[in-house]
Amino acid sequence: MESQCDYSMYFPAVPLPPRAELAGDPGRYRALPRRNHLYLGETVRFLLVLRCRGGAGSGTGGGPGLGSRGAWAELATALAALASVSAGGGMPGGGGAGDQDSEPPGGGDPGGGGLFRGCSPLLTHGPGPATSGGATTLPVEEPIVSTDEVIFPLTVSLDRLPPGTPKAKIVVTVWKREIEAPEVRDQGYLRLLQTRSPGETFRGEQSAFKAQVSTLLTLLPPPVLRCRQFTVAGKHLTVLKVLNSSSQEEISIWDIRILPNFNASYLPVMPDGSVLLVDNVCHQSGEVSMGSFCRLPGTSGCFPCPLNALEEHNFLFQLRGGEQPPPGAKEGLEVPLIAVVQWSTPKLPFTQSIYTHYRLPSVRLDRPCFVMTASCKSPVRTYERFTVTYTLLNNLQDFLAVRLVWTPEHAQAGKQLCEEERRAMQAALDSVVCHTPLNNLGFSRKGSALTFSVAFQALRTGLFELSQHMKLKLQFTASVSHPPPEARPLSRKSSPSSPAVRDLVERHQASLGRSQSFSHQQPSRSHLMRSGSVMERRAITPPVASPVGRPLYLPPDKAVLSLDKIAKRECKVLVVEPVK
Amino acid sequence: MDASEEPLPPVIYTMENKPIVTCAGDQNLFTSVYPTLSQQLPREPMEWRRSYGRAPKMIHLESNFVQFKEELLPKEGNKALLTFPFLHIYWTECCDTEVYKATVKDDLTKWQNVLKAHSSVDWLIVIVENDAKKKNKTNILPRTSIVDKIRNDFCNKQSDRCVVLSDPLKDSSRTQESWNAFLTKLRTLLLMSFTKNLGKFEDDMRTLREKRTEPGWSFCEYFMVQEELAFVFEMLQQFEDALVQYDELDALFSQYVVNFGAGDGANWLTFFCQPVKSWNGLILRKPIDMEKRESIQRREATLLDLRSYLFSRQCTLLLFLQRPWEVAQRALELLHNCVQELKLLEVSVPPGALDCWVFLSCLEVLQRIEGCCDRAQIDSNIAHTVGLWSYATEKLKSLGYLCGLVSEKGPNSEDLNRTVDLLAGLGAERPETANTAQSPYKKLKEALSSVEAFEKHYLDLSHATIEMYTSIGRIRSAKFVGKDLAEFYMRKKAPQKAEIYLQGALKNYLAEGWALPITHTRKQLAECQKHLGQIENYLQTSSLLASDHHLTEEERKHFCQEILDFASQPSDSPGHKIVLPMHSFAQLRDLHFDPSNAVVHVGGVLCVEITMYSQMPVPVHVEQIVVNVHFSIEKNSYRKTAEWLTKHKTSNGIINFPPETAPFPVSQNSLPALELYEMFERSPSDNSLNTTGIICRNVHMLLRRQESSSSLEMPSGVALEEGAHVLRCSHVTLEPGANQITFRTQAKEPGTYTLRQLCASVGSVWFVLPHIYPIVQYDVYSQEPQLHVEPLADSLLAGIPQRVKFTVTTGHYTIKNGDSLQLSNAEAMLILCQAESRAVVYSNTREQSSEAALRIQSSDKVTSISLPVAPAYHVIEFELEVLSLPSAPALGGESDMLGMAEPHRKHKDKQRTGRCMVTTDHKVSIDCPWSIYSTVIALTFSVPFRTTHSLLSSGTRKYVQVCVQNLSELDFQLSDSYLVDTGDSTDLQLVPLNTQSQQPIYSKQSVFFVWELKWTEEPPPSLHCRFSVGFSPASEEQLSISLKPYTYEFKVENFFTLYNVKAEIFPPSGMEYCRTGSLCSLEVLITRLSDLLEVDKDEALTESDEHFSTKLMYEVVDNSSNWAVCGKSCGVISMPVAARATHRVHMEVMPLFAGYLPLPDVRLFKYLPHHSAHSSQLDADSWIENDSLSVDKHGDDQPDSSSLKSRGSVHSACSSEHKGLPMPRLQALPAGQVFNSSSGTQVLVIPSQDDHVLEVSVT
Repeated sequence: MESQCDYSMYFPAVPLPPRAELAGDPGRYRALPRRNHLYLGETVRFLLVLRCRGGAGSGTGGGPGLGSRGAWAELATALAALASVSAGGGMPGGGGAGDQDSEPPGGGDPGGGGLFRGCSPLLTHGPGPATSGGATTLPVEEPIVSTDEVIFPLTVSLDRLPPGTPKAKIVVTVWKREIEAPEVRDQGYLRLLQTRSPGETFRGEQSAFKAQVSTLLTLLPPPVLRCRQFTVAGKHLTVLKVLNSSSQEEISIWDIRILPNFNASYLPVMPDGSVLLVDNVCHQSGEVSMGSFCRLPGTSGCFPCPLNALEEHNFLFQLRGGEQPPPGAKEGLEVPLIAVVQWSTPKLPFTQSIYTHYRLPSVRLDRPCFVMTASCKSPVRTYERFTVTYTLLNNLQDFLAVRLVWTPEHAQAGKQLCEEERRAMQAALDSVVCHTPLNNLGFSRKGSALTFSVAFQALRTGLFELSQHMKLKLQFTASVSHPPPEARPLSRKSSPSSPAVRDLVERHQASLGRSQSFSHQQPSRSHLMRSGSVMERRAITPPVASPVGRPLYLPPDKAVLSLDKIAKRECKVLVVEPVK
Repeated sequence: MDASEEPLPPVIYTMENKPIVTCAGDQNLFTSVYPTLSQQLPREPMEWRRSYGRAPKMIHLESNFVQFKEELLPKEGNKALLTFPFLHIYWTECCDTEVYKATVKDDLTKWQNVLKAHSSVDWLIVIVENDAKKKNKTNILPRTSIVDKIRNDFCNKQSDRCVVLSDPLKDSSRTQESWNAFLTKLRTLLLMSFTKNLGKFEDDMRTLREKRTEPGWSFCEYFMVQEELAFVFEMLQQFEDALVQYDELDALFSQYVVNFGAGDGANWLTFFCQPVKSWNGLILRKPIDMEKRESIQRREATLLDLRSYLFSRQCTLLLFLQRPWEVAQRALELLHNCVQELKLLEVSVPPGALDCWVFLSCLEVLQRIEGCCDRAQIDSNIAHTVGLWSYATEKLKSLGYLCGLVSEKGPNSEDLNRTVDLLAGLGAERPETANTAQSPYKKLKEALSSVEAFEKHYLDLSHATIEMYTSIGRIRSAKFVGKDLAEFYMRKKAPQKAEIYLQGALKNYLAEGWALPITHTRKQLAECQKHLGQIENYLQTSSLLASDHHLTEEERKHFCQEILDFASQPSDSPGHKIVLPMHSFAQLRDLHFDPSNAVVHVGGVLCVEITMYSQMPVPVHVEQIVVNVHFSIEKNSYRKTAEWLTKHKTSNGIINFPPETAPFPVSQNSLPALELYEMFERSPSDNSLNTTGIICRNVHMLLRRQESSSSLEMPSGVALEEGAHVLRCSHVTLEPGANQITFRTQAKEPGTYTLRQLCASVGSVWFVLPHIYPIVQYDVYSQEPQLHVEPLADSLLAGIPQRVKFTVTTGHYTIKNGDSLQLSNAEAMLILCQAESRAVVYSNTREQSSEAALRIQSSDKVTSISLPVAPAYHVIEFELEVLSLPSAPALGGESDMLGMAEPHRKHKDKQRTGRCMVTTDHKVSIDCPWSIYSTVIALTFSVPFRTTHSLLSSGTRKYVQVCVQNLSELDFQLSDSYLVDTGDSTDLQLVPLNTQSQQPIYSKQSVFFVWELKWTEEPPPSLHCRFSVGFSPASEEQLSISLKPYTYEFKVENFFTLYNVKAEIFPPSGMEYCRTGSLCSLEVLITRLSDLLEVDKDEALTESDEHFSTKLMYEVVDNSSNWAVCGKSCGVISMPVAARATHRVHMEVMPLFAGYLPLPDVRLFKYLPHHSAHSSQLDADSWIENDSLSVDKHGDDQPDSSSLKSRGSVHSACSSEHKGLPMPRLQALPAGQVFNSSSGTQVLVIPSQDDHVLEVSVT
């Protein structure tokens, strides 16, 4: 019976004509422009046409099964069809959840390829629940039955396919709807299976009309997304670059956002339904909320934003985080990020837009407790006196004394620099004169802010850093309640006048007023390093030990300052020629 | 110890004696218990603990019970042990006190007193109880009272000396118990007595021995004492201990003899030095030769008597100990020893007497051993006895010689007298052997009786000995006996029989490398061969002997003379040669070629000087020395070239030959070591072990048949080669030692000559060295004339005169007057003729032979160089200057024609390997007088310059820059640079901007030239230019010729500026400067500078309403990461193709750094649609006829499912294999078409304050 029918699938590229029109002119669907590729995430509507072969209309030469017009008509009205989709044509090309680090293939990033990181798509779906209610339940339309054809308007959603699927296999199952046998209706299949032999139950089913039709269609991937994250002037910025690399058609970007991905780092659901967490990842809204990443407004940022083939558009986002941590926020956690792009093409007849989710590199937030910032007027002229205002925000602990020491010569000590770097650094040092190299700021209480101005003079033009060489010396009281463990047996053994005890006493005295100094700490921003420019040199200076003397023993961890709690922000001054 | 239990062979005579135990008291009683006692006593062994740390022994005690008599007790000073009563027993069965008191007590007291008088403490009282007797007596005391009484009376503190034996004759358990206790007691007491008395005896004996240095000490006396001890041990069946006593005596005596030989004579020894009067051999058939013992006791024994007796005792004990082979071994030692001792003691021995004694002794020992062993035992122990056989044979031989039995004529009267004397010394035959047919005595007597009998006995013995030696593998000994046999046969004038033995021995000695036996055997063999008339063999042996340094000079001369004598004999058949191997006559030490490389050209003279080391003791005149040479035409003709041969030969030309090692072939120990490996063979099915074993990997080396040494001796192996090619040297006298012989030959045919054989002829005797090894060859070559042309420098530079060296190798061709080289001139290469050119002629060995001026005549097409006259196999060298045109080759139009420049680049990728010079090959055809064919020489010239050009724009103004790079090592002077347009655009003008007309260009440096392009009307789409610049080497003075300028042609296309790109960055509104971290605006202005041109016509061009537009794509790139670009950084614009059409693009940028930042680059591309031909089918809206559908029916058991599946495109593959769809293409605009007017401009960015607290790091 099935073999006497021809099956055709039509994927129209325009919205379908009204049902009445199709029913009136069954051949009209043939004139519709058709599609040969689909977009991942869209909802596709198409037609399955079942045509009776052997001139069903003639009614004479038919085969035994569908020989007569009556038989066909009876069958045609009883048929039903259901469409489904699966990934076809080989493995997903790339972009499964496993290979998030792989650069999306193709479209060699022209210029600055090393600066941007590829972001793999995670998930693509059509209109979300918000846009069109009941997207999951696709409408089922009744078939249009004509004399020799049955047209099934069908709908299938492509948002369940894994990212990177190159082909979609669309399968339509056609079967004859039958009235359930009375005994099935009465007793149910379970009962029947229990009481009768299965063959008896399903014998009738075997002869029923049932066919499966499938086709493979090319799937186009979503636009390529690349990102670049950097910090400039204290702002954390993210550039998202959207590239239309696979569609000849113009696509429109309707919206783009960066969101924390609170779904990340969940392990797959366990058989009992529970979900395990990977520890070091933030799963609460914490510091990065849904609105933390703001797209910077600009003239070029108006939506929808059209993208022709091979065109790129960059979107700039800034992370807005409060300077004060929200209560109960945990520091030092990785925040996984995703980007959501809402886009569409004019050739999507049934889908308004597609949402594609991309995996972004995670960010990590840290909030040092002791921050030194500096500010000055810029640019300044050569030989002109200018002041730099250093601000010390202390949320760490009380300090007995705070000193600022201008020690440019320490910067290059103990470092292997190439000749060019060394010369550039020397030039920079020779160029800036600090008027008061040693400044005593007095004590600093936890929770207080100290502000201090230091006068400088620049001797030549250029860009100079004034925070790195301004050494911060902090004097604090170490806890004496925990004498060094190795000292106790020493004291017991020795007589009071022995050198060991004297040593111990001195050590105690030394530990009463220990001080430590801190150089400028460079955040790790390797992706933001400039190359080939001598305008600015960054040197990462390790914390330098106290000039008073090295501690004689390693104090317990509690007594020492954890250096990652202390930060210095860079301060640069541009020195230009005086106006002639 | 166990000797009594084991059945001894019947021939062994056991010691009759037993330790004596006396019995006193009731003799009847003793007689009644005696049978039981003598039977029971030896049944249980007892442990005998020995003094002086000797190991304890288990011993079965036997005793000889005799009636007690006072005479039996040894008197003071009597040392006899054999007759010593070790225990005294008193027997009584008294049970009646009265009787005891009446008789027994007195008797006992008397007995004890006698014992006490002789201080004998070894006694025992036995009280035998008899129940029967008890019953009869009613008034008897309890038994114990009698025993107690006796103990009380006699056993003062020694109560154990009194034992009770109950009912000894009954068969009851009590009786048995009583017997056991008694026997144990008896044994213990016996052993105690032995220990005590033997210990005392030994102490005394030692004391006596220590006195041996005192005068008057007698060995014979001591001998008797220690023998007494030996007897006792023998009596106790301790044969080992007994043997030790004799061995000690033997050693003591031997030491005295040795000391005597060293001058330390003992008085008593002089007696043993009396002349030998009897030599009747050892007597081993009696346990004790009492006759000899007595003679020793009487101190009348001769040395031979003493030795004979001692050995007979040792022999007896050894046979008791079942060590017959030790007897044989000791006998051989003894016999040799005795002979030596007689010599040492200077005992006068009649000639032959010792031989008789030894012969008889050997046979006696052998017969004695045969008497106590069966045949199989003897056969398997030949190794022990064969020495005696051999010794006997040797002695019989010497007796035969002595008695004249080994001669042709038989013994003379003197011999007979001697025989009679010898036989007399034998005495009469002993009675023990009188009845045996084959007694040694009879044998000797018979052998000495006649020549025939001797021969029979001697041959019997010899053959038997040889056979025995051979069977046990003592081949050398067998051969030695064989040599004696050979000597015997030679005496008997039967050399044919002797030869076999001599050859056999010689073969063996040669194989094992025994130098002296070889010499000796060879001497014998020479005599034998002389007798047999084997001339060749004799001569060869003679030559070997003549060269043998183990012989005296006289002997060597004798054998040498034998050869010379034979050689000088007029041969009866002329031309008959006797061929002998060379090595014994003379040895080839080394060989030296002149010329030393052993290569000579045809017609050249070759000298071969060899050093022969003559082995002969006298100078030998050799008629001729001939080297046979094998000639082979070398197939590989390349070897014939003089260069090859010169290169591949040893430089000094001396070939050393290893010294002959012929006489001593590989001996056994120089064989390779065994290479043994484990081998496991596993079952293939379950890997279980099937077999395992050890395999020897080098079996083939070890089991290789030893090379038959006969070939070394036999001249038959030497074949004389007859060859057409010989090197000959006549009438040479070879002095003993090294001789230099020089052969001289003229080379004839080219090829390789291999020296094969060396022959030296002395009369009709030819000494031949069959193979000369290592292989010695010399080569004769014939060389074709050759011409080589090579540059003097590493590479030739084009454009300036370069020197090229011509080398003519004349080979076999002789350059005649008028011969010349005809060079066909190449167009692009000149040959510069210089008047002062000279050619030098060298000989084959690079010695300059002449020099001549070179005459060069040049015409249009041909340059003719007349060569100087030169003989064959000479070399002519001269130099010429050539000049190649300097220009870099025009691309394309390459020609393979001869004479044309043939440019090519050595590396295709010239840009990458910029260091490489472009080279040009010039081919020159040269006609040489010796050939009708032309020689084609290719010379490669390198162009010293590399030129690149570039188009520079300034707005619409255009400049052409030419860069000339000097790749060579030389400095040049550049002058007169020109750039001309070779196209026909008259409108175009090239205005030079170069100021200097002359410029130096140093090695590895570059010079740039710039012209401005000017035109008035529409510029041509492309420009063909030719750059030319004159150059000359900077260092040299004025050259005689004018040099051609260097030219470079190139083409410039699409050089007209179509678009002007201008970018500007503005600070945010209200700000004076841009600041880091704040957005600034970027304006890009793209301006079209011309109307539609030819170059615009491509796919991107679209026309609508007479207006043309083209699609461009701009891209804003910040390579140095100074900026973050925001907005559409990469976009498509539709550009009207009209002059002054402008497109403006707006973006935002954020400076990331402070300072003067360069603007981001703006690039422009043509935006070409994708190839529609390929993608029409995949075009988005096109109609697809062939929707690929696959239909499946659930339930495969449908009968028509197969037909269903076959229909249509079931599971048809999708047509598009690729992923996604084709995309538009970007094509970069040529550099000349886009002018970036803002490139190089900078924007001042001032730093922003950084006071953030939150730190964000990307992970």
